[in-house]
Amino acid sequence: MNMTLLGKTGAPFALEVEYGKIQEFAEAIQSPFAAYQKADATYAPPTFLTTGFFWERRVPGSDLLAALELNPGSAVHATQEYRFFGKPPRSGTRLIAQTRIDKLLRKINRSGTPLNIAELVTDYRDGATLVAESRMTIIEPEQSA
Amino acid sequence: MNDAIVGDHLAADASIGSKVFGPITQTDIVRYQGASGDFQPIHHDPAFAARSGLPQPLVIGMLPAGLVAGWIAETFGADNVRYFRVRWNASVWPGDTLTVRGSIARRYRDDEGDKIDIELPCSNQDDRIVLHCAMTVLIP
Repeated sequence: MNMTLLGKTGAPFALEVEYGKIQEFAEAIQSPFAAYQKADATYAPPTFLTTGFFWERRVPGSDLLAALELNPGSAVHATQEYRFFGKPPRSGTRLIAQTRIDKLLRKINRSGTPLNIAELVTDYRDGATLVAESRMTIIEPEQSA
Repeated sequence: MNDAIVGDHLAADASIGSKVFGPITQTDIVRYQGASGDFQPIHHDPAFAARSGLPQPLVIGMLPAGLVAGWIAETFGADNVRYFRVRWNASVWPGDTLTVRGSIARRYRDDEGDKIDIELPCSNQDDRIVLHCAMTVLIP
């Protein structure tokens, strides 16, 4: 884990909350219920903002998870949060998202292993309004020299 | 909205029931990874998993998190969800069957209206807690 990136803010990226994508995601979480099948507009499932990975990768400088240079064989996604400041986003909304590295910590676990811990926060705005926030915690055992 | 669980008996410590998911298949994982856009190979590539010291690809954690979140959204309405958190405690493997049990930890009112905080421990077929979710929903 690159421990020099505390406070780094990624480039903003647009996340399209699309009706078809909501249907695809709802099927993947085995939840194809009526509220996701309205033809006009529908609310996103609670963990839908994770689909931002797709959009984030397409904007240079947005993907701070990649910037952390994690070891994919040992880094662990420890916790994930989504907070909505009102109703979750609806289909047809174009959110502008931006991620920052909010915390970078080093801890020693109970068995004496040094751990690097990163917390990434992403803000999601609809126009000027902050509508949601996600917080991802990644833990990676420190590489032995 | 499920009328059976809305009302005065939505007290703290009240159970909101349980739901069983699985057995989780490799296809479930691939479908989720395609939908989410997270293509971490440790969840679908047996050779990559082996190089990481795993006997097989392990289930992507956001899949069971999504299953639990989807159940609560289905029960209370996706538009009423205000908060979701998941903490993963142990690996989930293809073939596992998961049981989530919901209980109301707190009922309160804020500027937006009546809300409940729900605790959602999720255990595997060996009764081991593999992930723990918490959610807040608005009760309209």
